[in-house]
Amino acid sequence: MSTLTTHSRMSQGPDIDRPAGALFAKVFAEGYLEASESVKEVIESMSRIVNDPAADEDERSAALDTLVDALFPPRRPEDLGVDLESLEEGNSSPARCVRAAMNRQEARFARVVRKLMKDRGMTQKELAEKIKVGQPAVSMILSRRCRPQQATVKKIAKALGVETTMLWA
Amino acid sequence: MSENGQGSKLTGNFRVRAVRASFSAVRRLFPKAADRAEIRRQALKLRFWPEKKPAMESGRLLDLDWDWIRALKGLDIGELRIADEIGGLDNIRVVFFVGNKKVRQPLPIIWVLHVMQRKRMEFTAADLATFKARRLLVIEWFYRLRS
Repeated sequence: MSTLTTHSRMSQGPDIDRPAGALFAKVFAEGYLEASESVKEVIESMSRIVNDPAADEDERSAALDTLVDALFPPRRPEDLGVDLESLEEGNSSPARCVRAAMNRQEARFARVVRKLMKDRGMTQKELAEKIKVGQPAVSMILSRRCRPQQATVKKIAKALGVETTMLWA
Repeated sequence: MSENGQGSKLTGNFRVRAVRASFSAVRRLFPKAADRAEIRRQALKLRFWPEKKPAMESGRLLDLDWDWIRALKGLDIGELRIADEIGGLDNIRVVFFVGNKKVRQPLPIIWVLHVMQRKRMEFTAADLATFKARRLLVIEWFYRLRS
């Protein structure tokens, strides 16, 4: 691990020690040489952005992330990227807690909105027209197939004549 | 559905996959797990992207606005605009690529290429080059390798 350590030198600023630099150069060269022509073009264009003094921090970071992806291809097509729905099923403790809290918010919201709509005799179509979304959006929000934006929650609260806090805790 | 049941049920016209580089961006922008989960659930609305390619330049996907990225016309790259402030950031964009609909697993895939806070009216040349590069890697490594 020591060869990968980045040393911070007061006089010269941060620098990568020589063995780490050599390792990086080897990995970079291997990745580049094994790449197809089109991926080589990606590596070259992203390297130009990373080294462009006019690029801002966000642009450089995005280019660097792309460069890493280009240099380390997946073993199989199925390994490319991550399925967002499978992340929803993730079982780590923090993920479970966050998911449970979000699910409670969405469930309570759907329940209260349904009740208020019933009390007011308002249909999904009428609510959709008031908040300027399609009826399918209202249907999916109420059946909890999609999470409303806060901007939408506020519009729904206004359409139903209640405070946002009554719908979303 | 019970209060503890899973929200955002697994339905729709597309699967949504995020490229590795987009995860790095999300981690940088949103250190808190709750904010990342919020972004994920908003991005998951892409499951309901219409099967037939929309002819217009922009529109609504459920309660989110979207636009094709005009400078990348014909590449099927769009941006989803999140109106909410999440993790203290506004103008959040989810940049996506609608993959080849003939390749199904069992549904076709929409790829999240990038998540960013948009700070300018127009995307920069570097932004556009990065989106194009990520799209190319998806085509090269997912669609070409399978065919």
